[in-house]
Amino acid sequence: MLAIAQSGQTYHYLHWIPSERGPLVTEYGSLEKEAVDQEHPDKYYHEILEELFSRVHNGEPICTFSIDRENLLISSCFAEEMNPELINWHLNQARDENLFEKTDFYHFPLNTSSGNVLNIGIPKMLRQSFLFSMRLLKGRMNGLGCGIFSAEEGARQWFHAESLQRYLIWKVGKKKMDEVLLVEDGELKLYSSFHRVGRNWKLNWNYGDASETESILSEIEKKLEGDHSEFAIADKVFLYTSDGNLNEVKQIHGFEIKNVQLLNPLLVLEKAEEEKINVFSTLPLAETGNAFGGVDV
Amino acid sequence: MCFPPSLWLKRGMPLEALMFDINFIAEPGVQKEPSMAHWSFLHKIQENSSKNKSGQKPEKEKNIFSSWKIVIPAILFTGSLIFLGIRQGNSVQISADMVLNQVIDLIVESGYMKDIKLSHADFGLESVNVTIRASDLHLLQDFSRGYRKEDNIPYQLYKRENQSFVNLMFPWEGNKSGGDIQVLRNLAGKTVFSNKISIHFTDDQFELQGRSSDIISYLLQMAESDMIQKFTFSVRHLESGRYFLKVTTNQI
Repeated sequence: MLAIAQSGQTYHYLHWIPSERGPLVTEYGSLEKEAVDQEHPDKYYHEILEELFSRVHNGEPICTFSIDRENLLISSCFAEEMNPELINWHLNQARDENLFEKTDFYHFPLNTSSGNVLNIGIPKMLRQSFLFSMRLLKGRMNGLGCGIFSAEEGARQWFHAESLQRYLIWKVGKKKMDEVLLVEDGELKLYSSFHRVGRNWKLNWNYGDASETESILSEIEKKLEGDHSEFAIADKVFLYTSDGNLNEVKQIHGFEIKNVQLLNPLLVLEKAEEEKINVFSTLPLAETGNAFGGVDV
Repeated sequence: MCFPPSLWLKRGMPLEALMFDINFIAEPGVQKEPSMAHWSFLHKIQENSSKNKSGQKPEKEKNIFSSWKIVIPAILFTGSLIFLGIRQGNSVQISADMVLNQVIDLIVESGYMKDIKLSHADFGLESVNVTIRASDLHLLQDFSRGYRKEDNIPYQLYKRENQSFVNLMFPWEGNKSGGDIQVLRNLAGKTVFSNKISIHFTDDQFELQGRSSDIISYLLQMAESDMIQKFTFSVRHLESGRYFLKVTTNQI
């Protein structure tokens, strides 16, 4: 099984096979490929999948893919009990017909006690490109996830995060644009993005409980200012990056905060060849988490 | 690699997990339950390999020609086959799937190559005529060599107004029992298209304009639903770079 995670024009991959002791990693690495022809995403993704399959040379062409959030449209709205009519009414207020024609929308529960819904739109063209590629490659795609949500799935599978009451996924982003995702009692509480400015922060956007966001970001600010006691806002904070500055991650990890865990599958999964791994440079593999849904690790 | 999902399902895992797992392969809309949706075309490999196996010559265990009781009827049988073959114009026996795959390959390759363009692919009642054009004759010869040599596909190579053309004629059996326009509309509903398509239809014609991938996705959908031979249709590469599929029901 080839698990692929996209970050801009870089494709991180992890190839694993089933073994008696759980998934066994045989290969991992990354491929950088510039999208020369923006008008033909089908050709672009077909070439990437073909190249990655040829790199791992193992078994049938089966994969999962996690796409970069930059490709998606995210919003939230109020719709009690996820009422589809209410969701459609909300979306119709905010979007035009062209957008509706070009995008497929998915709706997920967000902080259910507040009746919020998280809406994620994916370009139809993107979905078709993957379907088209799998057809041509005579392969199988087991899942198509995205960014930090895929990493969260990894936290559950690799680190049993579902047993925690509250956990936070913290993605250190490019140009200090970070993302956080808070899960409480097994449900999504909030999804936010903020900009670290020195030791302070500035909120970019927030979906979910805004008061929670305030306390999370205040605590992150305190850690950056030198308070290296455990995080109080969550039982555990899973830290990773896909395209951020590795030195920043090393610095945060270097604070040695007890309940901060690097979200790296290679720390948990068995490897076919015992070799020293760089736990920081391989952090982008965190977003291959959707490949391990339902798998006993 | 295939393995039973039950082997990997976490012991005691509830069927409905609370935190959602995003899977854009699932049908769009409200996602209340985790989706195990997937796109799989692995069976296409198996189909191809089983076809190859069935095409292989069986190994001879003993010399069957040692018995005249077998040789004489065999000569008569072979002779009648040759006679029938001549009468039917030496038609090449290639399955519909293989023809469709070859035509799709031609559409894909001509879409990627700047100097070679698909002029049209017409799926008629008895044959598929594919015409490819290029400004350079040698380019066209190299491009079509594989198709002509491997399967003995009849072809015509010609030049007209500074453009060279190759016309490949694949065997085909179309319009087996006549199709319904509603079927074509339903198939369009099942197909995942890009966002740059337009569809028009009348009582007996269905037209789809879009990228090459849109046209191919629709043709593959027709094939999967066993509808590909129930219609006559043509694919054209327009000057705008887009592709145009026209399907006719041919109902009497």
